[in-house]
Amino acid sequence: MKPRVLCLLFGAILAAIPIFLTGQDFSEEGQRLERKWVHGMHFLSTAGQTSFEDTEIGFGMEYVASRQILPYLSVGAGAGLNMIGLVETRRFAPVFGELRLFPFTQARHQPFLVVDGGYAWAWKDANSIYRSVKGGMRLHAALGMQWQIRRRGVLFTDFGYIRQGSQTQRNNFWWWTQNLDENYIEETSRINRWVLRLGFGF
Amino acid sequence: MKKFLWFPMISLVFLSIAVSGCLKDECEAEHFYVKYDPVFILPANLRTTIQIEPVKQIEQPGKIYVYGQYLFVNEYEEGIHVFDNENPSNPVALGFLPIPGNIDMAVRNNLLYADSYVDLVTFRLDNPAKPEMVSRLENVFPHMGFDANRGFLVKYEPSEVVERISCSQATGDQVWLEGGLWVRKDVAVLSGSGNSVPGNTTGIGGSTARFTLGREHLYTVSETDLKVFDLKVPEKPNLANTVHIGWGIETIYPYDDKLFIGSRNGMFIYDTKDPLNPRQLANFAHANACDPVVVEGNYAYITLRDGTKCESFTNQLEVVDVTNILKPNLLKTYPMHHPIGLSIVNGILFICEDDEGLKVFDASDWDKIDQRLLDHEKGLTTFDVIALEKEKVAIVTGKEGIYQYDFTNPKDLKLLSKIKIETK
Repeated sequence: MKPRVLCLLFGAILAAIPIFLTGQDFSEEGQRLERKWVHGMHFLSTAGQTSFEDTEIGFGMEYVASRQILPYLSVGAGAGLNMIGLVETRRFAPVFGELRLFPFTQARHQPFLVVDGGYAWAWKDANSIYRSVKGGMRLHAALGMQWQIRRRGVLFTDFGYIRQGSQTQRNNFWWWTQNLDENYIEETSRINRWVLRLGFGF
Repeated sequence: MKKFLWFPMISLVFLSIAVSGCLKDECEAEHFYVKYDPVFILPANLRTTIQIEPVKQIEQPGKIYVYGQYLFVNEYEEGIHVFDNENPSNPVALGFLPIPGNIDMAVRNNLLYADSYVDLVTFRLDNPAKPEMVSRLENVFPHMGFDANRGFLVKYEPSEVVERISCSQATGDQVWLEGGLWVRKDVAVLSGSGNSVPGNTTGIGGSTARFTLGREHLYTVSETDLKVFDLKVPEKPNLANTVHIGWGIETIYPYDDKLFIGSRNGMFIYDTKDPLNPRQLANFAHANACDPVVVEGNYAYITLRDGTKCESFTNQLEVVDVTNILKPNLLKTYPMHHPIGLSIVNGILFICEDDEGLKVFDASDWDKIDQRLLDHEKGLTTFDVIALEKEKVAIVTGKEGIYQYDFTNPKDLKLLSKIKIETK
């Protein structure tokens, strides 16, 4: 089975778990521990170096729907748009499943560990010089902090690492080149970035 | 709360930028290209006495040529298959004439003229099953280079290469492309048609032939030149003249005492009243495209097709009025699928349409050709056709075989035979 399909399957399973557990409260410790959906919006910034050793700053936004299934664990699924760079080969639309661990279940404000994985698509511009632009596997892990600010409102931030696969094919131009199908370069990249996210949930 | 939030946020932003150097993209790059390695042949290996060999399978057919009851099929750059085609329903293979570098041929008075890279070789066909080599005229055709140790540079052999390179490397190694600057251009595999030459002892070549025969002369075209060979001593042709025409010359087609020369950007018409000194009468320009041409009566029919080698995006049939040979006049253009070789006999126009097969039109009215499709042979990929007026047989080279059709009723072509091609 293709990795892309496996990732989507993984995300779908994660997203489906809370549905099966609906209505089974497991704690009375506070709002966060209720079995409810949390809709979270994340605004993110990425930083790292390209293979040319140029510093590249990116930005993006992601939506995650998650559900607390255990006092210390929530699962969810998300999608978004990540502009890791400004060019078409660094623009991704990820879909992923997420696990979020809360070590201190009694606290109103508390740290968490988040891990998500999935697949991100890429697409080329209409007047692209590339033969093809493909995305790849996405993996993200971060440590963060969450603050409960209202009964159904939280703010959170996390800082971590994201790894994004990418594959491009471009023609290798020479002035006398006539048949470009015979001469092209395929690049397979694993984009590694620090990522800082700010978000809110309700 | 605000202080609690913003201080770590800003710190983290700066921290992530500061440590961005710790995280770098991992990248692997592969360069896919076609490498063209030069192929040389030593004069001693090229210039041997050529003798017929046993029958072998056709693998990469080039041009076809009809001489009397015999059919000659070029094996691209390797030689000529000889068939006894007295019965088109059952062509009989007689043998294979191994001529290194052969692409073109012409036959008259039992003499076969064929190119062998840079040489012109002549065979006697008194017994076509056993052609006898009678002469070799050396160094008359252009070559791409000569190395004292390795001989003539005759072609570039393509091979697919995948090479791992650094992602920061802007381009890969330099490559040569077939159809490019240094690689021999030839349309042998691509087209043909019914090109008839005056005289009942002269054979018939296709519309994409580069060889054709005049009364006592053999005319050949290279990429840039028209060469005139004097055949006063038929067994020993003599290069009498070389006329520079221009770039992109592809085909030559004789009609009356004129030569119609197809090039990638037009059609040249040459007068051969002085056969050793052909004189240009007209130049009919068209868009860049590969363009075989045939002529019947006052009309020339030109197919233009696209493709890398043809440097074009055009696929069409052009009908040109050549009543005033000095001023050819485009009468009409018909859009086509991907026309290659063509042939015309008594107003019946045969066009090879590549993967759309063979189309037969009634061209008696130049203005209504598209409305008069007589027959369409589908399910085959066709490159070249020679229509034989007397025998009412159309010989078609295709991807899978060489087909012979009876066109007694041009509205209903009958397949007579198929010579199978064994693709390498």
